[in-house]
This record gives sequence, C-alpha cells and structure tokens, in this order.
Amino acid sequence: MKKFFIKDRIIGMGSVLLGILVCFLSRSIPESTVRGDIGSKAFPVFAAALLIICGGLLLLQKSGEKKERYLLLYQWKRLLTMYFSYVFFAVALWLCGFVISTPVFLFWLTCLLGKAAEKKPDFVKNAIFSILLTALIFYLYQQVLHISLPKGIIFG
Amino acid sequence: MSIISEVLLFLLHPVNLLLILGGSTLGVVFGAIPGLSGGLCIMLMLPLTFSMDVTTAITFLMSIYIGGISGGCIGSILLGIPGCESSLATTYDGYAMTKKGECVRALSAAVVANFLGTIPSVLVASIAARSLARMAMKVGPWEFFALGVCAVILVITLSKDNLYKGLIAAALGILCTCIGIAPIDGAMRFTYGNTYLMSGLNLTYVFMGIFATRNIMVEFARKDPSKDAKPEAVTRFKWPTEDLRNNKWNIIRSWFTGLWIGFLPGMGAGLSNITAYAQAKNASKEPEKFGTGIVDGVFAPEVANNASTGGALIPFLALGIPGDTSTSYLLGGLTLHGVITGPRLFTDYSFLANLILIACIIAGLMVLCTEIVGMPLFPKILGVPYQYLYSAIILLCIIGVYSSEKLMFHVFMFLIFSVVGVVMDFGKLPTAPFALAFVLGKLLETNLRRGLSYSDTGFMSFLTRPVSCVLLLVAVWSLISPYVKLHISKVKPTYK
Repeated sequence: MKKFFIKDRIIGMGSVLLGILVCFLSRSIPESTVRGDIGSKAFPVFAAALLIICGGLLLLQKSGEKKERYLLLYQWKRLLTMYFSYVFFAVALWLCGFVISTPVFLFWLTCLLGKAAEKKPDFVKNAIFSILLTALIFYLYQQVLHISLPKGIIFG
Repeated sequence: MSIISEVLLFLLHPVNLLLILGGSTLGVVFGAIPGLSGGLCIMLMLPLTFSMDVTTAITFLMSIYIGGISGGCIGSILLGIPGCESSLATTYDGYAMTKKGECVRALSAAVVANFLGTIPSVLVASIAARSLARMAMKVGPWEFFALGVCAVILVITLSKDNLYKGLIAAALGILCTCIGIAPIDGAMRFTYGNTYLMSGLNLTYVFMGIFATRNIMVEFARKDPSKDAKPEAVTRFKWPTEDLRNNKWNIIRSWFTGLWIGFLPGMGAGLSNITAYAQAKNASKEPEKFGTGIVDGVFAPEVANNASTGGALIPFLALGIPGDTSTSYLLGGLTLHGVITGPRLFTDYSFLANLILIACIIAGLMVLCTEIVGMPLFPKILGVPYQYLYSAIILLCIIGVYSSEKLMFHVFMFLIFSVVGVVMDFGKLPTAPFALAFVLGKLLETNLRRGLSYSDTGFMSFLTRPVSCVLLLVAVWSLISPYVKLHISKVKPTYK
C-alpha cells in the first residue's frame, strides 16, 4: 500500500484549491489592449497553474517518510495563545492606541514567554520592563524619528 | 574619484560612523542569538528607516547586513547552536574547541576570518558589479526576464526536501505580486475596491508575517527550557598568527568558494559555509581530525560565509537581483525608499551605489574592532533573558508594520501573513523561493510583457536572443537535471 505523507497531502490539496480559486477569480481581469501583450490575466493564471500542477503532483507523490508531528498539542496551544495575543494587541491598538495597549500587551507577553522558559514570573520586573520599553519606543518613534504611533479610535 | 571622496566624506561624519557602529553591533547581536538573524534585524529596522533619507537608511541597513553574517559564529562556538544558518558548519569544530577549553582561540580565529572574508569580497564586488552593470545596460527585457526566471529556478532547485514545494512557494510569491495595479496596462487585479491594495501587497507586512513572526511563534511553541545551554566565560581576544599561517591556503580556497556561491542568485552564506567546510576537510592531510575541534574547521566556514556577502552584492547592485535572502530584504528596502534598482543604479544613483560598497567596508572594519574589544561580552549577548528580548522583537515587528504606512490595515494584513507563514512552515515550503519570487515578481511580469510587446515573434523572441535563450536553458536544465540524473542512474546496468 502506498504511504502518503499527510502534511504533503494537505499542502497539495490546499495548493490545488487555491489555484482553482485564483483561476476562477482571474476571469474578471480585463484583457489588455496593448499590441502583442499577453494581458494582466496571464501571470496570475500562470501562478495558479503552477499551484495546481505541483499541488496535484504533491498529492500523488509516494513518500516513504514516517509521519511526524509538526507540533504537539501543548505546542499548538502555545502557538495559538501567542497568535491571539497578537490579534488582541492589534485590536487594542486600533481601539485604544499605542500608549494604553502596549504596556498591557508587553506585560502579558513577558509573563507568557517567561512561563515557556520556566522562569518564575517576576511581576514587578516585567511591569517595569513593559513601561520602560513602551516609553522608549514612544520616544524613539515620536520624538527622534517623527513617526506617529496609533492613537486609537476611542481617544484619537 | 570625486564620487568616492564625497561618499567617504559622508560616511566619515561622526553621526554616520555612529550609525554604522550601531548597525553593525546590532547585526552581530542578532546574528549571534540562535533563532534570530541579521536578516530579521534588517526587517525589524526597515520601518525605522522610513523617516531617514535613503543614504542614511541604506548605510544603517548595510551595517546590519555585514554584522549579521559575522555574528553567527558566536552562538555556534559558544553554545553549539548556530546563530544563523550561515554559521552552521562552524558548529562542528567551533563548539568542539569550546568543549576542549579553546573557545578564545576559536572565537579569535572566527573574528579574523570574518574580516578576511568580508573586505576583499566587497572590493571585488565594487569592480565586478560595475562591469556587470555596464554589460547589463546593453540587454533588453528578454534577457532580464530570462535572468529573473533563472534566479528563481536556481533557488527552487535548492529545495532539498521537495522540488514541488519549491515551485509552490515560488508560485505563492508570484501570486502575491499579482495583487494591485498590473504593469503595462494598469488593470486592477484582486483588489475588490480596496484602495489599500491598489499599490500591491506591502513588503513589510508580508516579510514580517511570513519570516519574522513565524519564526518567533514557532520558536515559542517549541521552547524547551531543558535544552537552553549556558555559554562559557570568555577572556580577551588573541591574534591567531600561527593559525593564520597554517591556514593560508584554506582561507584562500574558502574565500573563492564563498564569493562564487554568494554570486549565484539565492545561494548565499547558508550554502557556502557548508561547501567550504567540506572542501577544507577533503583537502586536509588529516581529515579525520575535522569535527574533533580544529581551527581549520572554523576558518573555512567563517571565511566563506563572509566572502558570500561580497558575492551577493554583485547581482544585487548590477542587476537588481538579490544574491541571498538578506539581500532580498535590502532590495525591498531600497524599493520602499523609492530607488529603482537594476543596471542603472551605478549611473542614476551613483552616490548610493558607491555608498553601499564603502559602507560595507567600513562596517567590516567596525565589526572587527567591536568583536575584538567586545569578545569578553559575547556570553552576555547569549544570556539576554528570552522573555524580554522576544517581547521587544514582537513589539518592534507590529509597530514597524504599522509605521511603514501608518495604517492599521497593514497590521491586520500582517496577522494574515503570520498565519500564511505558519502554514508554510507546517508544509515545509521553503521561504527563499517565495522571497525571491515576491521581490522579482513585478520585474518578471513587466519584462515578459514588454518583451512580447516589442517583438513580432511572440514567445519565440525569448529563444532567438542568445543570452536570454542560454539563461532559459540553464533554468530548464537546473529544474530537470535531478530527474534526468535519477533516470540515468536507474537505467544504467549494474555489474556484479
């Protein structure tokens, strides 16, 4: 019986589906009026064809490799925790702005990362670090580089 | 001559010297810490340069680039974990020397090797890039398209795991460049009325999401504190006179290897250090000693990976084609600063082109001085608390993405590309073909369409022009040669 490498199958299937979707969406791109030009549709369709062909070949490819887990369950939990921390920070930045959301996010992040490194959480140190780094970044961007930071839709 | 003196006057200004010192030190620190790299540092610092003028910005970024490659040896020698992939082979003998109590000797050799690799290779690049650019001025869109295809295919063939995955990654990169206003006819593609997408996907959030946070998130998920190594204490630098004398041929050979591999598109320091190590071992009278902690095994990879920087600068400056992943970030940086890269860089932006080369030389000197003086501090770099370092990096990523255009839309796109990055990592899709295809995608499309519009013979025009034909044949051969070789080895009868 053929052994299929599960990850390759997922990537292969994903590539084929993405390729088909791109081909479908490319239909709305207008034709070029420039003489001899292949038009703006050609490149995305070419990329989509490449995705479909290679994805299909990846789906059919026989692999003798053992199944290996990308991440264990607890590692997936960690990954998702980190990702959703980003999401919350992005939303908080949008709503409350840099000055309010950043120290809170940094404090949470230092505790989270410290936990992964099996360090006893030092809340005072983490809080001081969070405030100082926020102040430093704020000063660097606003005063030195003159780049404005998000003010948030509530307070902006 | 006057341009060079103007550039020198600019770079020797105390503020710019401080900037080079800061950039190269930052590069060394990022290069030294396993999991981080000079490329990541370039990405993080890129948004900070948006408020600077292009000359100051590129000086700073080039210093980081030079420092990043040089710093990789620190983690390899002290922890046995390469700071970045360009110092992978240094681990074999460098760490073995540390275990034998010879870490100062290994670090001193690596520091000198960094310098010997970088400076001559940049000098060669300054001559070769100019000549290549002059030649490239005479070619048309057909040759540029073929060259771009050749570069992307060469990088894809490096996808050791699976060629199809390399092609999928490149296709994804091309697809990302298809969003927004198309070249030539200005047609709108996949924007669906979103004005933020009209100018295409921004390099900052794509690269930050796919490369930077992907690494950080996955590193965090896999974090195993029991595997955290503690670095040894290090004393002062000792000039390795005897080691240099015994390794002169090893250094020269490794330098040529590094320069050549760096010159080939996409094949940077990551490959050259391993190749040079293997060559040094094969050429040695005592190959069995390699891996047990001999200084020859430190010189070879460290000279080669640093020589690759000069090699990578040649196509970067002359053709606008990145030699490795870090130069693709630099190329993106130049584009974001409004510089049109390619063979006209030496004529249209003569000051900038010379500045890049001279900044690299000064940064190389700064790195040597910093590493000599700061050697006792190396273990401290590796001992920076994980939670503080990574928190700061994550914050810089997100704020950097926002500040590139001061749009929250970019932050949300960054979140999407972080997921894409994890999916690519899950499927082991190589990042180098994606990066190169993303950086070169627009150039490929523009030149393909220009080539077709300018000629009456359609696609045949790419085959009737000798340079473009040869480049396309090289690309096709690189793609099919592994299968041909495999087929030949299967067909060949075996005699018992």
